[in-house]
Amino acid sequence: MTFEELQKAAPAYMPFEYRRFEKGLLRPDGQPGFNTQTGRIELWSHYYNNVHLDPLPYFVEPEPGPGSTPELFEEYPLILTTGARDWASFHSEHRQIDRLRAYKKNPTVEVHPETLAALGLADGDWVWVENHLGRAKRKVKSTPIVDPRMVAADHAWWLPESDPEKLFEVFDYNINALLPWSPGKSGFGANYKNSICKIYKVEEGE
Amino acid sequence: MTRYGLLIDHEWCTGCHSCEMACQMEHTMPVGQCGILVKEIGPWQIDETTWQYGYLPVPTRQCDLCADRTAKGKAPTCVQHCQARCMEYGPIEELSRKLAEKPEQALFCVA
Repeated sequence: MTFEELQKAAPAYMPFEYRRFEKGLLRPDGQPGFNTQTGRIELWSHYYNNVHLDPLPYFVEPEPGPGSTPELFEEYPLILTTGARDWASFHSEHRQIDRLRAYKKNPTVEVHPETLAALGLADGDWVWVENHLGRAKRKVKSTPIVDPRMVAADHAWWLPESDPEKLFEVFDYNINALLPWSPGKSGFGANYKNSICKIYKVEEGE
Repeated sequence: MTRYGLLIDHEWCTGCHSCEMACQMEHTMPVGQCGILVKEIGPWQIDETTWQYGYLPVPTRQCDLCADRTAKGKAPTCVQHCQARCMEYGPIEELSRKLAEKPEQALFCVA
């Protein structure tokens, strides 16, 4: 269709139906119910049981973490959270658009002022955010909106103004270097985007 | 002469900068200039349960209330693009009445 036709038709959605479980639209045999062995929503899961996983939901301390790896936590005593959204970008997009980059010039880590005081750091300092798996550079943003026990680093940074041969310095700024690549024993889902870390000043020339 | 302006309900402004972006693009302004600017106020703690953490968009001297758009019956582009729908354009008389209806609003007389 032409853009003008699209303008008239928009917003346009794929057709959808409600209460498909009542109409037999969820199961391969066309019967009413959910797509499980019993046709019911299963809190005790036959599927999980059949593959020798725990059929009931359970909680496991995040790893690494203060509960699961206390020795590591001694060395990396801050809880790290990543990926909070910023108005100026989407994942790794938009760093190269001047108007949007003007809103968020640098990759940041948000740190509570009390934590900064305890570490002898200040708003605007460049720091390494580091743990046993890797490290990434961030500029400190002092803010009371994060808990003093944690730091919040943004993600997906690369510097379009830097050297393409060095992949725009992505490896100096990649917060994923601190994250493990395991989704847990079922293989379902994704890895944790949170971890533990320490932060310290970037030295001259690093 | 009738004065026109922008009534902004800053209780609901989320600081998304859509108004700024729309304005810059509509009027092709250089990066760093704008007809409207969003100011962040806070965050700071007031008492045990209350924080100040809000935003206020402020029209600048470069705001002409999108005269080209309003001549065609369209809203100024900032008003049009506000994702929180917290901005209104109109005659000052009319907007003044709405201003009195609730707190945490600001009325800017622009033109």
